[in-house]
Amino acid sequence: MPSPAPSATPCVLGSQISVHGTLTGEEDLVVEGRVEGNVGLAGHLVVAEPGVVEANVQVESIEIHGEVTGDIVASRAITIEKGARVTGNVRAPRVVIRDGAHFQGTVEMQFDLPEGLSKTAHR
Amino acid sequence: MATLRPKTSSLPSPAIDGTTVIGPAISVKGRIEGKEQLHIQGRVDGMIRVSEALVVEPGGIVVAEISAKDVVISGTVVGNVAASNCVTLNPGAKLVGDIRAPRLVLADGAAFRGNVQMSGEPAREVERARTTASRPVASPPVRHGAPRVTPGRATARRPTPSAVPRVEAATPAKPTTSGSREEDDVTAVIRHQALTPKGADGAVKANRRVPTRTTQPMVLRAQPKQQPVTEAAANPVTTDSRTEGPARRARTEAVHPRIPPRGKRKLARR
Amino acid sequence: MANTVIGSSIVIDGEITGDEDLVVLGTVKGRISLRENILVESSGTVEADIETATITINGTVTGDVHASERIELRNDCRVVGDIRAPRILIADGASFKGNVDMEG
Repeated sequence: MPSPAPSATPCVLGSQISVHGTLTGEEDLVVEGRVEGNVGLAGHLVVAEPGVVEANVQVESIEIHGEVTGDIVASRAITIEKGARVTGNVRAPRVVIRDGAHFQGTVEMQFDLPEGLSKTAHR
Repeated sequence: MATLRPKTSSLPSPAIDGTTVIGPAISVKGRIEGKEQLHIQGRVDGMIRVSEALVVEPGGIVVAEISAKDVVISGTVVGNVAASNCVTLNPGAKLVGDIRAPRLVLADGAAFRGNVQMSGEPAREVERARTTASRPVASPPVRHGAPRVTPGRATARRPTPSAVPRVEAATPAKPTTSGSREEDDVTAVIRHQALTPKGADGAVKANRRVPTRTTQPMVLRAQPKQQPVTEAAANPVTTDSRTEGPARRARTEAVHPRIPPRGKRKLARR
Repeated sequence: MANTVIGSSIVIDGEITGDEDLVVLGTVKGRISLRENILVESSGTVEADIETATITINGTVTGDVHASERIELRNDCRVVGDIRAPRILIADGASFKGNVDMEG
């Protein structure tokens, strides 16, 4: 999924393409270029290795190989792959960070602690 | 003299050299410090500082500030975790607290809430200057002698595979919204379209807003009713070329060789 | 059977409680309260009050020891403190200073 194959691929934002503003859509998207602003996608977003996203992102799921600066909210999963650079707060039911990824920010996943511990974890 | 043996089960033999195990029925309240590996299957409240690996096994509960070389969590940890090498959260792990380590692995199925700070190896700067244009991208031939455009501008260069049903419109900071949505700022709406193939020797690929319903590649033409995007796309150098001579010329360059330019402009090939 | 081992380079400053056997090769300061057996190896140092079922000491213990079943001081151990258990064994060579109480 990281590199778009020429057949049956989702929409690709080429590496020489720069979007400045609000990007919305209802299908999967692969970003190899640059996006600044806001992203709202009801689908799967892949930030490919050369991709740079400086935006707040709201997606169903996201897979990051490149660079993302901004808050990410996913309704399903966030995956930060090796070599990725992510700065910002992420929130999703599932967050995966692979070895070699670079992440700076807050991770927020909703879950319960065993009884007795929740009070110690004032978060 | 006979040595009495304890009536209950025999005492456990010391574990592997250099490993401390806090068993599942043990609870420690206080500080643990050491220079060896520490495995926690029980409960620790307080503070842990070891110079080797700390492993919180499934079922282990640690309510403590942790400092170790490596931290591998499969159980529950409430507290800040600092590692000099790597913090790993295995499936089933639960961590509420901040992480400070050069490497972090968060497996699928791990649960985490807190701040992450990775020191050491910041590599590429995350603070991409918003206005930088010199970001090294997969280097396509720069057209018109201009580097990857001025800030915020759109450059259309990539031929999208034909199978791609849609295209993204790169829109510079144009006053006219190229998107169909009426958001503030420029909006790029993903509709469909394949970009035109490369023109003359890698001239700018058409990457512009197409009239939505058409499926044929739109070609950059010198048309009066130009989409601003097209123009911008066609001219990486200038972004608001509309009726300027050079712009027009540049525009025509992008015309697909097969499609004759419309109108009176001549096709100026460079 | 569970296997709690406090390694030789570990220092625990606090309270240990639990329901399983414990082997101490390192240092424990504070309090130990178990319901099973404790073995303090020769490298082990315990500066704590201990409450357990049985305890066998090869190392150093400073503190009061109360066992519900048995206390064994092996040779080479050094114990300073009161010991109390229904059965007490002090080996030749053990170094002990304190009171002995054999009324469980």
